[in-house]
Amino acid sequence: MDYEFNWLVLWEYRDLLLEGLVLTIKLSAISIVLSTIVGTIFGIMRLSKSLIIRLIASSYVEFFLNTPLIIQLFFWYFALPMALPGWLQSWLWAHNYEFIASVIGLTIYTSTFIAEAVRAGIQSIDKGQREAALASGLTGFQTLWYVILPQAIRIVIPPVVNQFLNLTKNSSLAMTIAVPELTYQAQAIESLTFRGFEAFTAATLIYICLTLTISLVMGKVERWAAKGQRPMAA
Amino acid sequence: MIELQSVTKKYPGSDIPAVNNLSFEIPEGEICILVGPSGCGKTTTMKMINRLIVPTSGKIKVNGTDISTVNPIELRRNIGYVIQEIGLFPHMTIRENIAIVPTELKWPKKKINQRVEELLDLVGLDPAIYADRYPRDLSGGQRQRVGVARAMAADPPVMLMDEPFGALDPINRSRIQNEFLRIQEKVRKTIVFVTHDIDEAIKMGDRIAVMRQGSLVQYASPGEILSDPADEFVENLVGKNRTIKRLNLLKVEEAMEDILILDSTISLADAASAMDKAGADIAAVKDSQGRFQGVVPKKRIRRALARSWQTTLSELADEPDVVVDLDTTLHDVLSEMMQAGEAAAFVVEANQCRGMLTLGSIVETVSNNE
Ligand SMILES: Nc1ncnc2c1ncn2[C@@H]1O[C@H](COP(=O)(O)OP(=O)(O)OP(=O)(O)O)[C@@H](O)[C@H]1O
Ligand SMILES: [Mg+2]
Repeated sequence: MDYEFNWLVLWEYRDLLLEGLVLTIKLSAISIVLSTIVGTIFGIMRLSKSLIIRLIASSYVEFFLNTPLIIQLFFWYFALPMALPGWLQSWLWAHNYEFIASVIGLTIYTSTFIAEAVRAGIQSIDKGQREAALASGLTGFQTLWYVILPQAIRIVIPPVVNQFLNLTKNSSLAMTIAVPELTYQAQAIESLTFRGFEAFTAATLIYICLTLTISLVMGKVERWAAKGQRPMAA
Repeated sequence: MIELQSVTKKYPGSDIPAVNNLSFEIPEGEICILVGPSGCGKTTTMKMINRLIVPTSGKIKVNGTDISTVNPIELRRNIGYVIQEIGLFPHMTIRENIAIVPTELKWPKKKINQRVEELLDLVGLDPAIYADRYPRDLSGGQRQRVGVARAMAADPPVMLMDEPFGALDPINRSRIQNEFLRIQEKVRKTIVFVTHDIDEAIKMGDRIAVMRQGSLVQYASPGEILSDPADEFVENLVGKNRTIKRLNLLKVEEAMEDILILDSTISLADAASAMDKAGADIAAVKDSQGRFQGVVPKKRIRRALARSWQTTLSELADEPDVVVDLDTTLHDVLSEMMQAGEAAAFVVEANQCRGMLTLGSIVETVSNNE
């Protein structure tokens, strides 16, 4: 093998890597928060008493869950603006629309998985809990908020954390619509220096650090959520 | 008062109604026991009273108001419900569980804590130990007691209790039953109470509603159910030993015999002659302040006299093995006597010996009551 490693290029182009990292964090963090909110709402809607609400929620989930993420990104980025009035188009293009489109794409795509996790979590709570809460005179909303969700969260966290990790990794697809996030910058370094191995190794390590950090933080959250609910001692 | 008027419930997808044309009335301040085989519609009936389930037809009134016309949240806050599976919230401490309705009613924090502690005391759990634990740290029986405390938290005038003492061992069960009846004497709530245990039904109920396949078979006082079962079904439910079941209806007061009470300061010779005169084989001994010290058989005094022992009446007196209250049922007295292997029980209240029971006095009371 004739390839000579030159790790110094990474130092030379550290600004690009750093910018990419910051943007990846921003993109992931915003999408994580939004997809959690949207996903929880749709997850709860799927269990609604009203058939219409259930239908809306399940169509949403089925549709976006079964379409490739990259197509969704292209749709939001290339197709949607064409349906919008001209002034809105120019406003979007002036305001970083590629970033907005990737937040929309990642949020919607991930929210479908979160909705499924939330629905399964709520369904796994014993129905006696709901009954006991209602019998105590709690309203439907209070029952959900004080009794069902706090218990479901413990069950929901592990699959949702997986989705957070997937989302962070999926955010690299945003490069296809010209968001200069981490993968985009790694590629830029490669084309400037022909040092692809070094650039992508660096990007890989950074992604690993990111996902490990998320796992660690969420592990703490999970332990907090499990208060009083660790499995019973035999 | 709770009134059910031709109440029927058909669950969707089922041809046979779970509750069929049920009509009865529970007067204010009384305990009505629902008994019947599994699946006969007891829980369904209870859930219709607090509108967790809507009847297919018929009308239910609580204190004169048709419940279908009131806000269900408001209704349920005035009806304490102990659900069959206990249903404590695992992510909340015992305190938070009990406080859930008072918190919704926005009671001040201090009042809530006071109430929680009062209720835990009432159901026999030390608040200092249990208030801040989670349900998983408690045994099944303890959780059940917390379930009862939670239902009572906001002092609702009506209580629905679905097998509230099912998970308790016989001794604790009998204790909490007694405690519950004592509280009920004072608070006079209107209570619907489900049980599978006919002894419990006879002991706790002012009235018993016997249900079968969603219908009411008999609705009567425990005494009537025992002496006059409506049909073979009720007869089988009550069981063969109806006389023995009656023990649940009779209290110590009714079978108690007087007991001779001796001052601990008198001489053994005086004690023996006092007992001879009264024809008593056993006597209670009280100290100079009138407090109960124990019981002493005449034989023991005679023996001490014959051997000229240097002893006093106090030293000869023994703490009895079976001590009961005036309102203990004869059923409970008998089972305590059997357990202790004793032929007599002593009634002690407020440090005073009020009397005694023997197997003979119990048998006589029961046969007189048939
Ligand atoms: N949600 C439901 N949907 C359909 N059928 C039901 C439902 N709940 C109860 N049933 C049926 O209605 C009948 C009465 O049930 P219910 O729970 O009232 O009985 P129960 O007397 O409380 O029995 P147990 O002593 O076992 O608690 C049963 O046949 C039961 O299978
Ligand atoms: Mg039941």
